[in-house]
Amino acid sequence: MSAASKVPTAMRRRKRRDAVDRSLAVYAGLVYLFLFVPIVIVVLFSFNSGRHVTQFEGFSMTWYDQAWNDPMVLEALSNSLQIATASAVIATVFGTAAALAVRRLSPTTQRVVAILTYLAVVIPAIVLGLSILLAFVMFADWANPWLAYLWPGDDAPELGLGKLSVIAGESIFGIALVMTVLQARLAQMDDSLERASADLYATPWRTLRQVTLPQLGSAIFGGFVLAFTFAFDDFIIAFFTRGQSQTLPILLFSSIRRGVNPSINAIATVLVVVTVLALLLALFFLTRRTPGGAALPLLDDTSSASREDPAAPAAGPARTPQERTAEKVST
Amino acid sequence: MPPMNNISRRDLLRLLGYGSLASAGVAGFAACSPPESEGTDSGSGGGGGDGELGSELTLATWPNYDDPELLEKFREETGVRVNVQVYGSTEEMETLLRAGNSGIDIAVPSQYAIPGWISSKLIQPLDYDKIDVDLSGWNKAVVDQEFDPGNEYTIPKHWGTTGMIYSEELGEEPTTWREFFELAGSLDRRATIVDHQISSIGSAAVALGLDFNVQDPQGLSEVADYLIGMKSKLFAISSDVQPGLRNGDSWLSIAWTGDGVQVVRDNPTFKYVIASDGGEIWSDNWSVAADAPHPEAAWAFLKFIHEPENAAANINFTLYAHGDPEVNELVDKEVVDNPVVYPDDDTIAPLSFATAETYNSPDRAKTWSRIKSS
Amino acid sequence: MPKLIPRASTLSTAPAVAWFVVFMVAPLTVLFVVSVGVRGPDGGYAGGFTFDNYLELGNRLAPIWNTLKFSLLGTAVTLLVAYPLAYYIAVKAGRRKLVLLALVIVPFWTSMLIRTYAWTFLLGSNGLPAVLREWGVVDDLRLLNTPFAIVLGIVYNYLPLMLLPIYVALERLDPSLRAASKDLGAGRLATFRQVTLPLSAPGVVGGCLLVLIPVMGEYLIPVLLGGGRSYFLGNALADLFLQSRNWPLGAALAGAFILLMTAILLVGTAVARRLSGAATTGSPA
Repeated sequence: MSAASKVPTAMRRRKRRDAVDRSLAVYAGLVYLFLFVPIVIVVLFSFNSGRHVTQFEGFSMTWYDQAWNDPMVLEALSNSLQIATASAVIATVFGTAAALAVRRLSPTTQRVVAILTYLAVVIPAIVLGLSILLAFVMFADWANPWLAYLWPGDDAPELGLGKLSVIAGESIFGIALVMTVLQARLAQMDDSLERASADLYATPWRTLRQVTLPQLGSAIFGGFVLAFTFAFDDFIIAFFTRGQSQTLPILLFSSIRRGVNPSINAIATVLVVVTVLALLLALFFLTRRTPGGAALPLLDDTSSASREDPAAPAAGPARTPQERTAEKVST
Repeated sequence: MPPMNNISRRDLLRLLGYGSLASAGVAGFAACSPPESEGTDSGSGGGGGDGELGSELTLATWPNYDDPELLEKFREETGVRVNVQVYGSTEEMETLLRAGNSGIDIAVPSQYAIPGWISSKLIQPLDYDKIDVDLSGWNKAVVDQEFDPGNEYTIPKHWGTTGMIYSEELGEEPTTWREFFELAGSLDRRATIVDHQISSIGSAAVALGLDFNVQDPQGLSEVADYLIGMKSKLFAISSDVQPGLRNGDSWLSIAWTGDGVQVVRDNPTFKYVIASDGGEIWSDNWSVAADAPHPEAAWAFLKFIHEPENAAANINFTLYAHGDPEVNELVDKEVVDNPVVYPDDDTIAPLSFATAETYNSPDRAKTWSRIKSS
Repeated sequence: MPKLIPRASTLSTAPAVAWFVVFMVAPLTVLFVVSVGVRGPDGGYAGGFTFDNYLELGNRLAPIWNTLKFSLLGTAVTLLVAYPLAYYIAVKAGRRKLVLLALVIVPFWTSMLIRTYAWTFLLGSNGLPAVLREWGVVDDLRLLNTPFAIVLGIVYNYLPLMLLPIYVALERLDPSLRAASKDLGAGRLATFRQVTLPLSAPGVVGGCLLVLIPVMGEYLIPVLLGGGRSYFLGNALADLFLQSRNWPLGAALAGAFILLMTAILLVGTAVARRLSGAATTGSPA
């Protein structure tokens, strides 16, 4: 190619590139529209004065009032919060403890743990939910007569489905989630700091507390938030294991089925606002604490392990060769 | 004492493999189950001393089935707070009751589930002395029925029908299930049938001249072919019938009374019609769980809710038909005069209750899943 | 870090493992036990030992096929929608990257039930079809309760799960690679095809698995947007447990479901391995 012909080609290319870039930007805009229109609709109709969900008849706060004064809504909300908090705490504590130690188990035990984690991630929520239902029912049926028999007083406690079984189900996935997120982070972490700490005669516990955990802080927080969100929004596990505890998604589902009540829009709007605020807060907090955007645990690579993440085992090893390539090329 | 010497009814039921996982599946466990003392047998409703109401009562029911103000009034009068749990179907309530230790005091099943609940000891006989209700004057269409002779275990909360709703856009006025299904099959995705084998298979069976409670394989396969043949012409198989109708997507639909009342109230161009060639009448019924943690509160609530003034207030809220004429005297005139809520005797004469056999029939269940998965 | 903490601390894996065993392995074992039992006369479960339920599954393949068909289609469409967006955010968005990513995730964090329900109004005849009718684009467009609506529901709910792994793969791609490709005279399209696409392949496979697996267990989307006319495995399971109350057959179907899932994952993982191997050897370096 001669220098003379290269200039116009480059210009043409740049022009075409601009066109491509612009259409990409337009495309992105359309996808965001797609993502947000339903939410806008929900928010808009939560202020609708009429019952009709398809015609906007005027501004009113009726549905907020109604939802706020409905004891069933409040109870479901409180149940959901309790369940999500408990599941996320269990998931974070157990998951973090396990992730820190798992690499020092014997290879066989490591494999067992890996298989269990993998299972927890890939098992369809509906299958887990109904298995727990069956297991709780069977166990309670066997254990309760014993409890009643052995209990000193008359009021023997009885086991059954309820918040506990929902928490059990939700936290299974949560533990796997936290473990995956943390293991991915640990794999990237440089252990020189820990060595230095040990060289300086810090006890292992102190090293853990003062060196390892702070470095993992954002990942742990990210894991907690993901586990919480999953448990809070989950419908299907709770649907099977809830016993008599109503959760918010289940209440919304049964309200939808039995005729339309715009107060569900009000509840949803409150949830949207709370979530967005929490997310903004987390974003602000995390980007300030650690320099560089990548510190945001929800958005960096470990978050490919978001929600129902089977890719961690699959994509985990898959990524490394590609990293290697990148390193090889750039050096 | 070894269990075999003194087999309680509950043990017998277990051995027969009745119902829940209490049954033979746990036979391995059963061998090491603790001796059962007389007092813990179900049916007597453990917990709570006599006369003690306690402070709480759990009611398992359907959405919007009770006026919250009435529950508040009950709390003011007795100090008992009613904890309402809503379920989308009787089946869901049943799953929970069978699981045991559900914490439920009062449940409101549809009539077809009741015989199974009685035989599985999920509910206990009502203490009529305490609830103080006399059913002798009640509408004979809903009391003393085959599913609970003498109403030993249940009292109808209210009753209703399974009819059809259609909009004026349809341009026709079907009056029979035959006409309904002919229209459904001829329109392009405008008809909705409910996702409930009892109502949908039953209504289609009526359209084909079969019994609403059809259970024989040949009849069921006829129904299956009929519905599968028109499935691509249907708008939805969903119990969530209202949104489609209100949005104008669906022009006609199988519907239960509650949906009929609400849709017609909000948009009078819709009609709710009870088919003249047969179909379903149903009742949802008060019952008290065998292992109710607060039986005394349950009796007190049932007494409260059957005081004519309270029952009428609840009917004005829920817009279903009550079985007690004394109550109906007090119900708002526009409700009693609404033929959707209170159809006359001639209209309901051809209708049948779904039986427990229909509810439990594996063949009907299979037929329904065949239709849905086709 | 590995050798620094004493061996005794490996005990800290115990709670997680115990939790998994008690609330996952044991229930799955119960599921298996139930799957070889028989249905009680009033529904539910009665003990027994028979493989009839598994044999009966042969007559119930329809939901399995239907699920596979829709999940694969839905995953493919999600990929097509997500890839250009991931590319735009990772490569073109510059400083707005984080904000744009956060915007993808925000909807994902609000009740899925409500968002999906909102679509029933948007797709219903007073929604989008009415707008299009007004504009004279189409006369009688029917969107709700169609396969289209189900696929839309899948794309809408699972887009972030597809987008994130692809974004990560593209983000890690060294810009100098693309620059090198261009310096060597490759056109934009050629660079994309020969450099960008292969290197992002592992992210694509990861994203596809992330989407495919939960979609296969989906219950709400076919109910709310498919009008119950399309029957997924999740719906079949819910019906068997909650409507027909045939627990043993439901348990057998759930068992088959797990097997199917495992098979898909094994294949997916193998593909991911090969692709990442190919990406390494096939790179322009």
